[in-house]
Amino acid sequence: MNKVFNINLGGYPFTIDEDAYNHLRSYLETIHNHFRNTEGYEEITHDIEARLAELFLEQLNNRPIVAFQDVEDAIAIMGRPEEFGADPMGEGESFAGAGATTDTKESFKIKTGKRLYRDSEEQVVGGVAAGLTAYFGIPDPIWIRLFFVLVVISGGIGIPLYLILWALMPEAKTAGDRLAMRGEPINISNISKVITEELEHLSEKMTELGEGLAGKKKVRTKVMEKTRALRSGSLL
Amino acid sequence: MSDEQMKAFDATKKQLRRGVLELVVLSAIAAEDEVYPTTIQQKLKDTPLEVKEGTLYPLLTRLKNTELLQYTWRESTSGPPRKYFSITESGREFLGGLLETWGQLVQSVHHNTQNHQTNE
Repeated sequence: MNKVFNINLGGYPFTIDEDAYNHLRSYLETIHNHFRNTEGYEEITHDIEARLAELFLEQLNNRPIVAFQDVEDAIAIMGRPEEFGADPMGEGESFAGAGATTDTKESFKIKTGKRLYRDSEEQVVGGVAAGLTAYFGIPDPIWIRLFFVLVVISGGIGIPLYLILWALMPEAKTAGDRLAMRGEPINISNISKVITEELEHLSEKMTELGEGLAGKKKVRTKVMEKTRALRSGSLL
Repeated sequence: MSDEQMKAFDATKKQLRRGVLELVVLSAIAAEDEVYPTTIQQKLKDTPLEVKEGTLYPLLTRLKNTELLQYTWRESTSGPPRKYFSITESGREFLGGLLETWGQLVQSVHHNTQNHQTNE
């Protein structure tokens, strides 16, 4: 007897057994870690997940459950990050690659891998509290929920604050999003780094939201073009 | 060769492939109206430029972001909608320039390594 999981990969539901799930999870984790500092990170990982979903569908061919071998076969086609040797990244990274030692790569890895997402699996209202809980590594979402309840009771800003966070935080849709949401525990040495990154991410979303509200259709920056492309992608 | 030298050899090989891969991927896309990344991977299969599909996605995204490529979504019978890539006008110009440089390089390399080959 084997335990199975239900997952969403590239917008498709899959039933996957436990071994296969763990294998896929650690593979997606390495993929996300590999591309996290690359321009177009979200789009690249989104494309990879969609292709993995396509490979699973082809391999399953009406079989109900994704097995370990299916994951293994899909990875053989997609390749592991260490096999992406020929991927032409930016200038800086190609030099880092020329060094070719794993030590130098490790020292470049500063991010913790956490991103702020709404956790729709644990949601009571919009999944904001659950997302914040995962982000800050708090054991139970009850504390964040209590906080929101207190802020709502004590003054006027509670509900707008929640709604703003709801609008700004993307929903964790894919397996990769959920991994990124949980990430690794934050420690003192990288906490400030994470906060600045997250602030940048939020300010991007802010500008986008602002422009959306002002009704401007013109896309000004490349970043926004990217997020929009992504969004239209995920809607299809 | 020592371990150190083997490493240096691998790194140099990687550098060489990097530049050439971009040229070859652009050419492969320019040759068709629109291409699915998997098709490119299959074209390169069993050649010295064989790559895993995962190598192509960052490359294609980067070329798309610099507007050398563009893509359209196509519904697929076998799964999620697919991104089909095609080359832009500026992509063609870019590729033309690369091919010219490539030709010169090959000539120059040929010229400069001939002595080395005959000595062996």
